[in-house]
Amino acid sequence: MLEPYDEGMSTAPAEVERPESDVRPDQPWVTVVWDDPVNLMDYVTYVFQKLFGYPKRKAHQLMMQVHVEGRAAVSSGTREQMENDVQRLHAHGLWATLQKDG
Amino acid sequence: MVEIRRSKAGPKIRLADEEVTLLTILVDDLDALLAGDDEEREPGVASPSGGRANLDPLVELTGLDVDAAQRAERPTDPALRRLLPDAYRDDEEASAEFRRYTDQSLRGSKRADATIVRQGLASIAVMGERVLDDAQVQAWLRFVTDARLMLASRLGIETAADIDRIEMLGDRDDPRRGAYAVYEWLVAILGGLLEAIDAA
Repeated sequence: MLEPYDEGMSTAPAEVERPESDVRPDQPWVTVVWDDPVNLMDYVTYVFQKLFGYPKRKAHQLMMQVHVEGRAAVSSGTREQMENDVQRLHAHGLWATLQKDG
Repeated sequence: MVEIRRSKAGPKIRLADEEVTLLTILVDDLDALLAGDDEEREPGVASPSGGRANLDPLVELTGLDVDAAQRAERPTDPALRRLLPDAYRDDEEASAEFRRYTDQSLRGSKRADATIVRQGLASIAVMGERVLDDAQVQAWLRFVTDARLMLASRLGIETAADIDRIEMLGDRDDPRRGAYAVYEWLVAILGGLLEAIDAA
């Protein structure tokens, strides 16, 4: 990812579509976001906050994991939920796939 | 040069005439890319396979084009494949199935974003600037992101090293320099919008 802008404070973004705000550990499917050299780091963090309702700190951590490790599991749940998450991430230009956990 | 300021009603974006022109070209490019082979899906036009000569009333009524959904194939154009990626990394069949159900709505939502940006540009062309409400900001963020992905693909940017290579291009006449300048300029718009909504 590209990092042209300084990290700053943020208000919580609107438009959280699903209330469960954390990764659900018992669910067998995960949504994985992959690193790309194009998307801005601030934008990726913002999308994680907006789509999943994550606090800024957690969204930033996940973004950094994508950036440093090349990928990160950003949500978990049923296959249908993950397909929905993948579609929403694709609508925002992020490179996402779903897979069975583990 | 692009200028984005906060206002009570939302980010206020000001663009020079040539910037409006450039963004409008990108809107048209992206829209055409996403429209793909829509021409042959126009109702009333006989297709080689189906020979559908008349308007399909169901398509007319609902916009649900079952044939088009069944034709949703993995794009061959690398830019389009990045905008509409496979949902499964190692499962072609599941990816194809996902595509059948989501391809149309994903293309539709991206084209709807492009339309919102086009409308915004039309009013900036007249007024010089425009305040974007929340829905419009979201559409602009997604559109500028998609436009950068399209340009990056055209420029062959797949890794950070590819970017370094393009930045080092010595030949002033290399057409990639112009495209890369546009790609970088879009960062200013995206970053300005994110800052104006406190996301940067």
